Amino acid sequence: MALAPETIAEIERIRAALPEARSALLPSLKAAQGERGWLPQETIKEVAEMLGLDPNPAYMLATFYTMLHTEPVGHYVLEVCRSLPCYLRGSDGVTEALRAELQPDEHGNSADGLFSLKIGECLGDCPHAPMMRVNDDFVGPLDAATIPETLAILRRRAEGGRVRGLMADPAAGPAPNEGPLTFSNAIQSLPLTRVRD
Amino acid sequence: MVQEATKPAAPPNTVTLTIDEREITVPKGTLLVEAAKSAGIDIPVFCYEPRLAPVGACRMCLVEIEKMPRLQTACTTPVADGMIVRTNAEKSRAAQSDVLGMLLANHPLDCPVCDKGGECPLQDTTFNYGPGISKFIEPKRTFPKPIPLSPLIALDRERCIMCYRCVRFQREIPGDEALTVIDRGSHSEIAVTEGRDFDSPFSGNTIELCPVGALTSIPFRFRARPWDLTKVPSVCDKCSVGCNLNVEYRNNAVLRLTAHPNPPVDDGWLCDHGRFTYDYVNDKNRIDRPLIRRNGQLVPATWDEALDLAAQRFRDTADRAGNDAVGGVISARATNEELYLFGKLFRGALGSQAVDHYPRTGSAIGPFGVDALHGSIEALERMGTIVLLGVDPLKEQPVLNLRLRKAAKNGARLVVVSPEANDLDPVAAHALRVPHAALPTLAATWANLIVTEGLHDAEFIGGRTAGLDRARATLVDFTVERAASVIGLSAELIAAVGRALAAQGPSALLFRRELSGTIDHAQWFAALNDLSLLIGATKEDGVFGGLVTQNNSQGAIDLGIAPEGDASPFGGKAPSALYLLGVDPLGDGRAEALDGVDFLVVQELFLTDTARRADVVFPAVSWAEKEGTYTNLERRVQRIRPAVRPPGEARPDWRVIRDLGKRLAPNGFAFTSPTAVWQELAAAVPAYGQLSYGALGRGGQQWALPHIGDGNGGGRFTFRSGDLEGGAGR
Amino acid sequence: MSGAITFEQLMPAGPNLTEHRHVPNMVDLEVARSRGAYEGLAKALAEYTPEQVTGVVMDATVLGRGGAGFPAGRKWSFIPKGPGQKYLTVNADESEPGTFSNRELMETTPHLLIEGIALCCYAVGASRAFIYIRGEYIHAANQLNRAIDAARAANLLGDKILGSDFNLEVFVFQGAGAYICGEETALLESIEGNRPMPRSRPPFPAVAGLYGKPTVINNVETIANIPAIIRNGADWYKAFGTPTSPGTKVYSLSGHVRRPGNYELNLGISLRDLIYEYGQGVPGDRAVKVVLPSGAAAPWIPADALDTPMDYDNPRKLGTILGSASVIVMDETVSIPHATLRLIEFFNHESCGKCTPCREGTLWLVKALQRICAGEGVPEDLQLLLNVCDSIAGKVLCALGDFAVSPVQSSLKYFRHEYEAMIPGYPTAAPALATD
Repeated sequence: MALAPETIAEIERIRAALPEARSALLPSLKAAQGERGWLPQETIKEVAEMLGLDPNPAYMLATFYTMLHTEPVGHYVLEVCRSLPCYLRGSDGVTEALRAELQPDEHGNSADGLFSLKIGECLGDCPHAPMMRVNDDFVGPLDAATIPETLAILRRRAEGGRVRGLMADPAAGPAPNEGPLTFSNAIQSLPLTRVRD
Repeated sequence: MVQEATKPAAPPNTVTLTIDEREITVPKGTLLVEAAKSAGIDIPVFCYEPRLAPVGACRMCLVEIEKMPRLQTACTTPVADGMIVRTNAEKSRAAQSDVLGMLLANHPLDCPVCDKGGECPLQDTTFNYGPGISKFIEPKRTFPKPIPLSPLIALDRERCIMCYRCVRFQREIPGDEALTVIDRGSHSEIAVTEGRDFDSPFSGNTIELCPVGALTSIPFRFRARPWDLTKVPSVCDKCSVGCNLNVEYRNNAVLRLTAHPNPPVDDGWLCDHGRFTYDYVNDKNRIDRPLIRRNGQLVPATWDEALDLAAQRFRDTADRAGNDAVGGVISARATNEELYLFGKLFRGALGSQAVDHYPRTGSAIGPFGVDALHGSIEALERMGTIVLLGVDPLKEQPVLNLRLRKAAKNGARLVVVSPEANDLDPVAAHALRVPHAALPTLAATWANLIVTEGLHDAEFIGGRTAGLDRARATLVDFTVERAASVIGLSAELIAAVGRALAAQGPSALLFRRELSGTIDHAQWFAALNDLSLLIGATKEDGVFGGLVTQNNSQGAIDLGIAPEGDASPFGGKAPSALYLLGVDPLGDGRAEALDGVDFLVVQELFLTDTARRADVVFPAVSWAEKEGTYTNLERRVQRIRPAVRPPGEARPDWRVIRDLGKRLAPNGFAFTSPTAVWQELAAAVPAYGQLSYGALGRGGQQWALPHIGDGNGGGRFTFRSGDLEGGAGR
Repeated sequence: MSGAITFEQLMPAGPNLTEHRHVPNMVDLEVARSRGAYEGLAKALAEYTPEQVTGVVMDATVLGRGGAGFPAGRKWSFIPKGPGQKYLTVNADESEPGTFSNRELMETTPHLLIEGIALCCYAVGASRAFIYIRGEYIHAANQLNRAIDAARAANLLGDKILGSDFNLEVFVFQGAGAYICGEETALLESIEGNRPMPRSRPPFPAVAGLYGKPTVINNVETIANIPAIIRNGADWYKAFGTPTSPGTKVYSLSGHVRRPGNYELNLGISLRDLIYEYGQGVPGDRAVKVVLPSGAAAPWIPADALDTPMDYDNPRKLGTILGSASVIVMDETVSIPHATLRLIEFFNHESCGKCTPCREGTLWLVKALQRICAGEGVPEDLQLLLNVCDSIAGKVLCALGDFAVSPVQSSLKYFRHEYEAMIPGYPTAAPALATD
């Protein structure tokens, strides 16, 4: 499956903005991943060839960085932070709750193909610990007890055709508050949930 | 620069330091690990390899340096004046032992079944520097056992210690990325993109670079333990570079070829074609005794029967149809000794001028009057400009291609002119697509441009050359505009590149001798000669020459193994007799070469199509079975040595020629060894007479070009284009 | 928008970097300019030579905020003068556990960083700058790109900035998930499209950095300090903080505190004030057990040293550093071996794998700690952990490996008894003395 014209245009734009073709490799792989959520070998190869580079270094980058996926992923990639600040706030319980709900296979994918559960390291949102990344967005603080509701919201959004980002259109402003799902990266719309004993 | 002057002044651009209480003076910029080595102090390394850029990854070479709080890696630290270094004090020893402990923690220690066992730097370094016991009690990291990366190389990821030598080699030396590292941290592994092979023409070097048994040769896997092999140093016969290698054998079978570094020639590298092409030596289907045709069938014969028959028929043919009716063609891969004897057999014993080598190298006499490369392979590293006209070293002289890449890395501006994409294009300052037919025009145009614009070194041209004015008159028609219309490149580009060639600094010009299509080769060589003078490629520090292709093409040129007058061994007058040594015209699609031949003698390893047609077949021996010398593309004469015995009754080729000579001439063929042949050859060919036979076996020796022989820049050169008007452009 | 008071709105605004953190829509150039954005750049281009800009920054003594504390002005002065391509790369690969101040700066006041970039580039003669931002900071990258587009449209970037001869293009280079890219030379490798592994030095980036050209690499917060310094002068800046640690610092507070977040405070504030005054104490009023002063990386500060002023000097007396001033608080309920395992898992996960001690050593530590935490430790394990730390520390290629041993060494220094209690059959005949 060839890259979409918009992706090709984006890669060309990236290439033109950078001094060397090789520098465009990582941003271009990310642009290509934007299409399907992951990077099949043929896509890696296509990106490399567009830039006049060998596919091997592209494959190398695709496996080095945690945000690039060389295996299929679900509609939502959930990256739960396990680093110390989140750990201290109960991230292990959140992970367990997610596992119990999603029953992920060995690759972390739920049977319905909607979710991929990844365990990640610090995402830089410690005030909202425990938190996770949902595709482009940070969500927190999470509560193991309300994980089923959180997932239910995500499922409804996927059914409603609201694509990968939680905030379908950032320019349109923050998404409405839908219960326990909070968007910590929309800084100015965070509900005050922090002070708690 | 201020320096303490308490000691006798060290030579300029050197640094004096102390390593393990020993004072050492080395050139500025030397890395500590090399400085120590020069004093005989061994610092253990894994990732460090002098031919690759240092990376400081394995941390094996940590040493103490006074006034530095942390241990430093000797492989990345340049020497400094007054530095005091300890490689064997407690701290460095502990660090070395710790690093080894770490490397061994997840290493499978399957040495008994590892191909590297016995020649493994990890084993040896552990023996010398390692911890006596392992504290690691956790389960080891495991991977599925070896996976083939290509038909030639297998990867055992458990053994890999992540020194990156293989990946660094590919990227830095051949400049490809045929190998990479995927994943990260303790999951890192050497890999190639799925569905693809480790497909580099130089991949075999990584087997030798690998300091553990992670990358192993599939053809050699489990064939023998390294200590059971016998090594014989020799020279590769697969192309004109003449890389040095070890023939390693056991039970009279060649089991592998490994590099035997001869840095001026090969930098210690081999191409895969050279490294892995040896199965034919061990092939059970080789011809192992003489054959003669009886009742239409080739049947075994004794040597005497075969030699007698061949000699008798050669003599009969000469008597009946004239001496030139007996022809001989010898492979350009034969040794100098064989070439010499072959020439002597025809010219001396038979009085025939119909003798040639194959594939035939077209004559390309330089402006110094000799058909040989001016300069050397190694000198290419120091060039400011290198012009490549129509050559394709990756395909024809692979390891020379690596030298050209190294030159580019050292700052040489490469100008690559070839009809199709060239491997060197990406490292070239200019890569031009020009068909063969247009190359003579381009060379003449550049020569004209440089002389017209006065971009040449006037002092050199004025003081050392003759004939410029006459050449100018011939060249004047070669304007960039005209070239542009012939070549299909813009006049601006042609002019810009031409001007770039004239930049000062050592220059090299390497060209293809024989262009395809209808080419006026006289004009081609004349233009090349003129251009070489104008860009200074024939100065003492330059390089100029037409690249030959076979391992001993240069030897065939030097020894004059080419027909004279109208004589021609191929397709000559019927009836005739023909002796082919290692030449297979039928296999090469040149059936017409045998037209009119009514007596054919073939000396071959295998029963080729041509051999099947022969009246007498002599078994030939391979390069791994014989003694002699080859002359490479830079005039370097190097010795090869026999490793294994030829099969059956096969005899060294020189003996076969000698025995024919003995039957055809009353004297002159009483040689008892190839060395004896060399003695006579060296006496007959002045350039070879200056060589030391001993040196030929220790890295070889270039025969001296007459024009730089005096070392005083006394050589004088002649422009050739001016000769063309008279039609004497040879 | 929804009218709810946000958590961040409770954070106090600081005097410099976070002065405008609550101003809505600071990404809008007009809003930013109404709050003084690019005044420093205009002043520098009109009144200062590049050398003078460096001089002011040197005089202000801006110590690198990324952790190493190297004076920014001196770093700039290493860049060779004269023609030739030079680069600035801003390290926005904020990936240390417990660090999140750069993200807020970039999301709320992106023009502050861009103005700082322009000033630095003017000072060192760089015409191209890269902001290397970690891939997960997608919204921060979007904010930066919006701000860059607006600044270029207003001739605050691009060619002949504000009518001067100064040209500058800024590219936001987004990473894709790799802590190692915060190491400055791995960052350069990442931009170059290579495997992001630290380079061996020399050469230093000031000599041969990005694409082999002289390169300044500064942290986001370091650069964000520059505009106000140029606008207000070095003395204004030095009035903040302490004589040897001038200026303010954004302290990132996380873990067991009631109000985690970013606090821009004078350098030299004590941990006690940070935790109890700003962080409003520990939930449940539990006791602080130990504090990590600089994310996962630096040696720990025990509860009895909370009065240590957090500047560039005083933490050294405790064998630790201010670092990135990302303070993680652990209360008395924490199992130290488990927390340590979690920290080491981070380093093992993020080790690039280039050098042996870090690649193999962090894996070894993880395996041994996992065994101990599973109740399968053996008495020799504690010495083994320390030995492995010794085999790593000081022997690795970059700082990451050195960082990785801190949690093991600190936890064994202060809480060895917790490990001992987990190891079946640990000899207890000779009662262990308190370690400090």
